[in-house]
Parts: sequence; structure tokens; C-alpha cells
Amino acid sequence: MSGVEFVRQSSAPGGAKDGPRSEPFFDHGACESVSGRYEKRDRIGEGTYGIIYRAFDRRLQRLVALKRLLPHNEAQDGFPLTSLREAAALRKLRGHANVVTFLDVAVGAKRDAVFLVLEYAEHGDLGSLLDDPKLRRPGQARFARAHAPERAAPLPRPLRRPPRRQGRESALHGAGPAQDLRFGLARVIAPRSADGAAAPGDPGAVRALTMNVVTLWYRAPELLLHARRYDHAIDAWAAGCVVAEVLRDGRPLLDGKTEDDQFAKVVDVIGAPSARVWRGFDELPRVKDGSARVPTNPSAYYSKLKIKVPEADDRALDFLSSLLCYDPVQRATAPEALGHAWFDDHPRPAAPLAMPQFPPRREEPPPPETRKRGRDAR
Amino acid sequence: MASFAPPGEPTPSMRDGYSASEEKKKRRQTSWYISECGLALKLPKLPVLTAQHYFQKFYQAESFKAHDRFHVAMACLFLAAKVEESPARLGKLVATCGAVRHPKAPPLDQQSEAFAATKHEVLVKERALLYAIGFDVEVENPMLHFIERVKQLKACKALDEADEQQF
Repeated sequence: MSGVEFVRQSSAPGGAKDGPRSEPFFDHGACESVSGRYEKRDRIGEGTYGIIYRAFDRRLQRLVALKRLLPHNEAQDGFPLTSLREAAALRKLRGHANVVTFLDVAVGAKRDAVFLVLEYAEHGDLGSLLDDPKLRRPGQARFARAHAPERAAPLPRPLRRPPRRQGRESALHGAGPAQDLRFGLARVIAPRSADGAAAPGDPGAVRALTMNVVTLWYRAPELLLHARRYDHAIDAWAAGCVVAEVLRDGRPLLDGKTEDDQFAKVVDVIGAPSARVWRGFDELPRVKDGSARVPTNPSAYYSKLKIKVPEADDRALDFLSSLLCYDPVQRATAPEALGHAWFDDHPRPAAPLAMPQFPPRREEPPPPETRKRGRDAR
Repeated sequence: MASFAPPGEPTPSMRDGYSASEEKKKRRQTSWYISECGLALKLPKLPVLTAQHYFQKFYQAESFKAHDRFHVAMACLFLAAKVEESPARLGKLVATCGAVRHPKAPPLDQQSEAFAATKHEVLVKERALLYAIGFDVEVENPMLHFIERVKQLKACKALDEADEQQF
């Protein structure tokens, strides 16, 4: 899969399965051996970022999530930088209430498979929770949903990283507000989206700013217009999208198919940008070279947010538009968003304990594919 | 589970029959090799220091007998360059480090099998390294704090002149 073999060819005659293992070049070191400690159950998620399995930790007698990292292009770039960052960031955010807890790194017997061992969250994603009728009772539901992300997926948010140290902070900032806001800012949980995580640009090109970050639906306009610099304001945008989606009962607000389509949708919902509302708008690469289509007829400047999110009252709309704001400088920061009057509105956000309990999901039989893929990991 | 040899205990290399001074010498020389390669690759100082850190850590868990130190050195540089945001291409790294090791030998043909084998070996060692350090790749370099102070003292010009390599 990775294009790089980590076992001695000669000593791996086909099916040396449980007997003396085919001789790996090296030890699993400080990492756990996956087959020794974990018992793989079934596959619970998959995407460009890897495959997630449910597994049972024999030593601590509990369920965990195993996320198998898929090294792309390993023969050329070695172990992918994005995966390294992911592990490093998760390690750093260990103990954070709103980030899935990183437990360990486990390694397959043939030394090629790498798994991140993560805390197991019962409910896969925000999307499926929103479908739960228990969340429909208005008082509870309205902000109770805010807590859903806490229980949600073992899908760490795609790690983006502006150059140097900044990126790490960005991950931290991204997560910090999550706790206060009670929205899964730290992870963008893409409901019913196969592409749960962004496909961050190829690791070789990270020296410049990675352009292709964040799942398209939650990508901020400055990214769509290829701004050279961006900061954690893009997280605020993504949060705005998620809030709108929650208000709309799980229907995504901006579900563009391509970058251009996404930008068109943004323009359609919150009106066309201009240098008046967005300082430095004319300087953005895609505006400068004229490749972005920005309507200029007077009616295009009106925001249709109220029509697009009919469920939102005035305060909610105000809150949304403070997050879905073109100019990243003017966009609400996490503390500002947190202090917004919307949160004082009735009904108040439900306390975590007042949240309905969700029954554990049925264990599904593993799809036949799981076995096939799982084998080379064992 | 392999573990790091605690201070005072014999390291894996010593258990394989190397004397303490032999091992120390190998570590010192390869560390120097790493910094030479870093210079030749025109890498900033930070990844080089991180690579040296990885190298020392690796041989705290693994033996010099089982792992060729030059391949490990290259893998350390390769990984550190990635982690510290100044990635080096694998082919270039292997070629440059080879030239540093054998300055008089003719440069290796980049299409040759030996070259491909070395590249593969570096990738294998990179994995071994990652496993040995448990994917804990972030190294907080004490030099950064020091440099911060020196900059506050407005002495960075002297610092630049003292070293041909930038951080």
C-alpha cells in the first residue's frame, strides 16, 4: 500500500500468520504492537484521512478507536508530515474536554501499519445525532445540540498549519474555544460526508502556505480566494457553518462541489464581498487575477442569511453573521462569539448532565472489505 | 516492549558487545556527520539539532549493531527536516549525505540500484526511528529560548556572524 516494505522478503513466505512472524527489520519500539493489545472489532469510519476501527483494549478492558494512517506517496516523502502533525497535535491536546483523547500509537506486526489509538466516542458524528428525535424537544434541543460535538466522532479535525509555530497555535486556538462555545470547533465534523477531513496539500509543498485545507463546505472565503496568509479566523468561519447547519437540522448551509461553486454559494448566502466590507479584498490573488467570479450588481450585496436559515431568530442571525463575515479581521473571535447575547437567550444551553443519553449503537457486522484490509494490518 | 535504557544502565549497543567508549565515539562522530550533512544540504540549524536529538534517542533504544548509523543519521535528518518545516527531498538528501561520507568517491548514479536501495533503507530507518521514539517528534530546543534572550540583548548580529548557518 505504501510502496515501502518493512519486512525481509525472503522470510515472508505468503501466509506466516500466527507462527513466528515474518521477520521485521526493527522492533516496534515505544509503540504498542496492535495485535498484542487490541482486538479489532469493526470498521466505523473511512475517508481520505484513513480508516477508523472500533477495537477492544484487552489490557484496560475498554473500547477504543483505532485510526489507521494511510501513508500516501511514502516511497518519495517518507512518513507523511500531515500524519506526524496530527499525532503531535493530538498529543498536545490530550486532556482537552472537547478533543478526542489521544491514547497511544500502535503498530502492525508487519511494521507498515500505523494506528492512532483514540478514545472511543459512542456516536460517530454530529449528523447522526441531529437525526435523533430526542434532540427535537425545543428547550433541550436548541442548545443542547451544542453538546453533541463533545460526544461526537473520533475524527480529529484536519490539521492545518500555517508555517512554523503558528500552526500549532492554530490547532490550540481552534480547540480552545470549543470548550467554551461547546461547539466542536476543534474538529469539523462533517455530517454524512465521506470526506470527513480535508486533504491537506502534499507534504512536499508545505513550505509555502497550504492552500487546500479544511473540508470545502467549511472553508473560509479567504481560503477560497487563495489568500497567502490566514489565521484562526478560518476556524470561526467553520464554526459559523456548523452552527448554521445545526440550526438547519443538519442540512449543510454551504455545500459547494468545487471551489468555485463553494464561493458562489457563499456569495449567494451572505452577499457579494467588496473592498468596502473586506479590507484587502482587491489584493487577494484570485480577485486580482480575475479568476473569482464576484457579482457586482447592487442586489448581489444583500445577505440572504435570514432566508437560508429561517430557523434562526434575530440574535441567532446576528451571531451567525458575526462568524460568517468576509473580513477575517472583523470576524468574531472565539471569546467574542462566546460572549454573544445569543447564549443568554431562552432557552439557555443545557448543562452536559441534562443532555439526553443516547443508547449505544448496535454493533454492526464488519463489512467484508474490513477483513481484507484488516489482514495486512494484523 | 523495547524501552529506553535509563541513565547508568547498559544501552542496547553495550548489550551487543560495544564498550562504552566505542559507543560514545560512534555517537559523537555520527552527530558530527549529521551536522556536516546539514551544512551540505543548506538546512537551517534547528532541524540539524533536532536530528541529532532523534539520533541520540534512537540509539538509547536500539543497537548500533542492528542499525547502520549512517542510514539512521540520514533518516534522522530526513524526519527532522520535515518536522521543522524545511523538508529535504529524499533523493537529494541521500546523494548529498553520500557525498559527505565519501568526498573522494564519484557521486552515486541516481538511477542505480544501490541508490534506490539506500533510499529504501532510509525510509525503513525513518519508520524504525518513529517507532523507537513513539511518534513523539516535537522537540523543544533549549537553544530557541537562548536565542530569544540574545535577540532581546540586541546581539543577534554577533550571533549571525558567529555561525554560517541560520536557525
